[in-house]
Amino acid sequence: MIKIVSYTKIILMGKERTTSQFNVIQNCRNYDIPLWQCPQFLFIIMGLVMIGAIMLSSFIGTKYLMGPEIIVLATISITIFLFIIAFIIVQSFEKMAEANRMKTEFINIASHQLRTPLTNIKWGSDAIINENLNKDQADSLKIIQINIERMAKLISGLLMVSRIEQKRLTRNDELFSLEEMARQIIAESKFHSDGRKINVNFVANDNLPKIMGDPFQIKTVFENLLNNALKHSPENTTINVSLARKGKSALLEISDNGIGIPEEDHKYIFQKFFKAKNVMKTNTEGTGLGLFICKSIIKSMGGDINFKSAVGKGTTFWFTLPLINKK
Amino acid sequence: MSDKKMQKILFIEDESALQRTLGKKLELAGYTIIEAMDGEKGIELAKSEKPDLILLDLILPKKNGFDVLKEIRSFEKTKNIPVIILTNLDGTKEVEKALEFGATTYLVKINYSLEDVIEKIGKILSKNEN
Repeated sequence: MIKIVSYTKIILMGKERTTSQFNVIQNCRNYDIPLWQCPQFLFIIMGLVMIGAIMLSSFIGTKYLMGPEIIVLATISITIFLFIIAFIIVQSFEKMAEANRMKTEFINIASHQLRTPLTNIKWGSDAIINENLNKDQADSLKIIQINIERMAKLISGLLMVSRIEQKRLTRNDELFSLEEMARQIIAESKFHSDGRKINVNFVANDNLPKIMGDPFQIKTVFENLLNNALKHSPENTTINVSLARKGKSALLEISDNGIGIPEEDHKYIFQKFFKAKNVMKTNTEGTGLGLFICKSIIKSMGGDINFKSAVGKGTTFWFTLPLINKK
Repeated sequence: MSDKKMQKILFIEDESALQRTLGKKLELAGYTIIEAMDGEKGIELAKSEKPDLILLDLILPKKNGFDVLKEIRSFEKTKNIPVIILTNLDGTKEVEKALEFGATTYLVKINYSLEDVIEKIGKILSKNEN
């Protein structure tokens, strides 16, 4: 951020946003924080409180206490003291708010800038995949492509987190069948599960009506939960997925017989960048963003998400989404 | 299907490596490729060359992709040319704006393989032919 006298100039994705320091509402919007946490707004409120305090002390002084010279001196001293305190507090708030904004902006810009060279590598490797490669070369290229996909997913995850934090994750709601979506994702997951002989069993108990929500985002949630179950399940086990009605909501459950989540980690599991201790010992892959994203999406659609787990026995994640009664 | 050599694709993209990779593949698939590295050149070539399809990036020097698209749609000779937005911006706002300005389709580069992009181009061109 470059400050030029009374103007703030913010460079964002190649565009410039110029906002007057006196435009309090706009400045607060730039920080992406509520009004009551905004430094400029707090400064005005503190100013008003100070004026009120000075007037009150002046009134009390003249009416009940001492001579006018002492009152004036005392009032000026209190004013200066309060002003310095207020200035220091507001400055600290401003630094914190700016650091917060810079962090999310950085993720945004860095993620987008990372995608361009990654696309170059991806398309470059696509261009030679069908050339006359020997087995070793083809295997190496496959490893490159798998890692490109991993990195692309990581960048998309970071972008999504950034949008969630900036409250810029918009939804394209439509009516869709959760059952159809679940069946499709499970069918696609067979590609990943078959190699390790993990069976994914799906039961849809009730004939549920369609759901109103963003299908892309709900797909992200279900894929995340199913991939976690697949990743942490031992060979020759079954993952049970069930879809049923629970009151006025649809309930989707995914149960695995995997390593489970230690009890002391339960309260952190939906925090971003968190990974359970036992997972870190066996599998360092993954960003720790998936469950944070899942919770944000489900909560934004009026649903709920949670889990139960025991180490060595397995984990059941479930989420609900409100059912819409079509008239 | 008519001879692909007769089908011209204008590729407006400032990233030369991407332009080379996709451009080469499209040439191998039988299309004629015209390249522009910035928005102004892109508009100029769209008007003079009248391509069958335009591939358009959004972040471009001189004139951004939205302005290019708006101008293409406002000019009589170019207003019906299918335009594929090919970008790495995936915000809902960008997608909505591009479709509102008349983009035929919107592809986020990193989500598609080279083959997928060529297939999409082929489908749009054959649809336009019929």
